[in-house]
Amino acid sequence: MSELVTSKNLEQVIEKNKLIKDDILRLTNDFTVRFNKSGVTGQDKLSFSVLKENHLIQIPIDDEYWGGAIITKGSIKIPVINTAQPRVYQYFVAWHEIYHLFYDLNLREETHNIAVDMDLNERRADYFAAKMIFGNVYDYYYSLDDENFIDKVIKCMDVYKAPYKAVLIELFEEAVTKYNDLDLKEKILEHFDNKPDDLVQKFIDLELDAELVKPSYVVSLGGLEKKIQSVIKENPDVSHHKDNYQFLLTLKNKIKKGVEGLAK
Amino acid sequence: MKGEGIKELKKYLSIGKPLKVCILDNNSVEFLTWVRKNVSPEKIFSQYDMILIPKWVWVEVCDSDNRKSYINDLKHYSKVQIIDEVDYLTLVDYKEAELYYLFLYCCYNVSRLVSFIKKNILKNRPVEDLDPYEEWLNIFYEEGLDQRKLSNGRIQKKNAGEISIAVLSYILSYYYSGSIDTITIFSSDRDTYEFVSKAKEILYKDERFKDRSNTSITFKSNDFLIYEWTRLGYINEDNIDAFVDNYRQTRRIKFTRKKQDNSIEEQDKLIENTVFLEMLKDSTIHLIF
Repeated sequence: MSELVTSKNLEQVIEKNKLIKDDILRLTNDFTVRFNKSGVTGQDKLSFSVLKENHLIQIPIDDEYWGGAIITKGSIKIPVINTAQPRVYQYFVAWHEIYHLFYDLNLREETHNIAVDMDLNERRADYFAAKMIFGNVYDYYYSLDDENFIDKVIKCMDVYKAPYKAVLIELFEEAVTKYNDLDLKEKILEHFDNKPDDLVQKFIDLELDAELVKPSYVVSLGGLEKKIQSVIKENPDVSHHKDNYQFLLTLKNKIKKGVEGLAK
Repeated sequence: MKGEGIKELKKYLSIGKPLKVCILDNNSVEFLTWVRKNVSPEKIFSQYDMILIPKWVWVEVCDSDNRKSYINDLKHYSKVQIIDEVDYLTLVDYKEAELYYLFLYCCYNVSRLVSFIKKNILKNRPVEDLDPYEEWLNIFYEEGLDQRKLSNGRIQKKNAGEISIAVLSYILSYYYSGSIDTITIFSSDRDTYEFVSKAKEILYKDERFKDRSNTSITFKSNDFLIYEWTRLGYINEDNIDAFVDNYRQTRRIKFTRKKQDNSIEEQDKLIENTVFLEMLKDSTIHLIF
């Protein structure tokens, strides 16, 4: 992910977004045309289904700063998502990784291209994710009649299935670049670095589905099990496929045991 | 074989005479003991300058007196040497890092072993900081390879033979390509074939090895041998049905077939004995494994 966005560098982030906006919008269109042939409407489902076709590995990792990655091995690229993070993060990370998987020239050319500004590259991935997730969040925000700023933001999180900061960045961009909405801008800056630490309870209080802000702890190893099963069937006289299958099951059990500790 | 013996072998491998080398796997030795009355060892082995058996394979051979005495008799037809894996280091001129990669690549089909090697042998260090070869080889053999107890009480190490054969064949291929003409592995074990094939795939891409000259490594599986023997007239037509019936089971064969326009078709499929007998009469076929 990109450098940590805080209230201090929020304005710079918006400046950076301006530079890449046209490019990213072109990519989001390209994505929809190329990868959403079945017309999937849930953005959360769409990103995961596309990643799964690319052997997505989902594992819970006890690290709140590690959302996911694309692991490259030779010409193979495998997306990984940390399912110990709340689902809203996973959805965002999924889109972030889709950018890397399909549009990141750094990854596409295999050799590491040092000419690319790594920070800007990560910003592009985040911006791509935001543009895939959000509709008109500014209008939606103002359509809510809640008194409380945080409650409204949480409702935005709920409908767009987006992380707290992502909602604020998107709102901030609209407020600054489109509507010159100084009041909203102030509110965002005031709350940006103080994400509520009891989001689950806040969701419950607002009668929203709190699963969204909890981890899913899904363990899925990229369809490997099925793949090995099929090669075992095709090659009954090769013993190493069976060994690999056993090894995979051992790994999976180990991970699941670890999850029990995490989920408590 | 240790110390002096390996130096002699090294000298022999370096004289520059184009040698034909054969490496034996345990399952092939077993098969050859069955068919000994029909096809003498002399017919099979006198064309090779040298027959090599890695020690990890030799341990398996020695579970059967038949197999052991078969090998001992081979000394009449060719130079037979059992090579201790510890001596692989001498054969590669003490290039420990390269030897490490040969082992790693020859294990590449078995994820558990790759994981073991990286975790317990490389231990996140640069390859230059590896423990001495003899030490890590011992850890790999004792702790890395799965084991099971045989009825005779011996502990069998899973995949030890296949890995040792694969590493040895690549040592010969890459370090003695100037004096070795052919390297032929006698094995019917699909794992051995796949370990060698996988390692080849990686070695061809690896910077350390890809531009070096090397001798190709080929196989003679049991089915290949039967096909060859019928060609050479070692098994006559009247006996072939009974021979195949007695000594062969349904097995997957990799082969090519020449079509009418001389183009070549690749196949890899399960072949029953009846179909195999038909294949034996077909001279457009080449068995690969």
